[in-house]
Amino acid sequence: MFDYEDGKLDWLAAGLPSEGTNAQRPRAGDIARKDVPTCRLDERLGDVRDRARGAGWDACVVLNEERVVFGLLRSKELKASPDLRIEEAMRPGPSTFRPFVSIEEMAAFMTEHDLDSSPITTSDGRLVGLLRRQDAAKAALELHEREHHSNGGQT
Amino acid sequence: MTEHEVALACATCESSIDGCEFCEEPGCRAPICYHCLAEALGQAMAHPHAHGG
Amino acid sequence: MPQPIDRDEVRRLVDRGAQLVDVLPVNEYEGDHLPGAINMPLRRLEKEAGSALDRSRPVVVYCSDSA
Repeated sequence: MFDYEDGKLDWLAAGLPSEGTNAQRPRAGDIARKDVPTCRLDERLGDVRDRARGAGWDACVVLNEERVVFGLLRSKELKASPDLRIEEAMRPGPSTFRPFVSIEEMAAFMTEHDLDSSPITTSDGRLVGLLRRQDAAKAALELHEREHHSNGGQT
Repeated sequence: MTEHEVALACATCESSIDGCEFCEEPGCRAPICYHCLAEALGQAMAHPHAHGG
Repeated sequence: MPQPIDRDEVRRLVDRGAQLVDVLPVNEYEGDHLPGAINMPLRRLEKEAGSALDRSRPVVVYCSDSA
């Protein structure tokens, strides 16, 4: 017999699939955008900005070779001098959130704190995707409407 | 604390904090500490324990 | 005494046919459990393991420190 000591929370924090009623409801890792632009510490800000905006984004996540999140470039950071290295321009060590966090909680927090985007990472810091506030709010609203209607309109 | 530093308190537990753990913005109107945020988002870390048998 | 293992070892054992046993209370199991895991709360584990589990396959037990 074997004992998986770190348990279910460790499994979920790693972004691994699960079964059960909670698995039917969208979570942060499901809604996070996997196609967010990424860059390295040693790149030039101007090059990264052009690449991000060319892909229709106003954000970029800074990763190392193992896809561990080192920093974040949101709209404000991308406006800095184009000759800066990413390491100098980025917001280092941003708050990150686990894939299993409920989308309703994330939407509520992002709205209350006026946060446009949040990196979603596994427990060892690897990027799952970037959760945008508009996507979180839309998913939370759709979930609410779906569950509200399935209850026959009763709250 | 200098006159330029403003004491921040977690909006949930009122403990003294350096900044909001969720948004990290200096002007956050409802800053939250790490512990309360982890509780709210269900991100409390598991700690090892032994099963019987 | 069960042998402690990590997540990667869980996946390797499951690929080789191990049985996953969630020892949490039933309502927690129903909320989330590892794919393919059966529920056997700790207080029932000793009594039911013999009949519910295949002795020829490894068994991995787990729980969680829920908030």
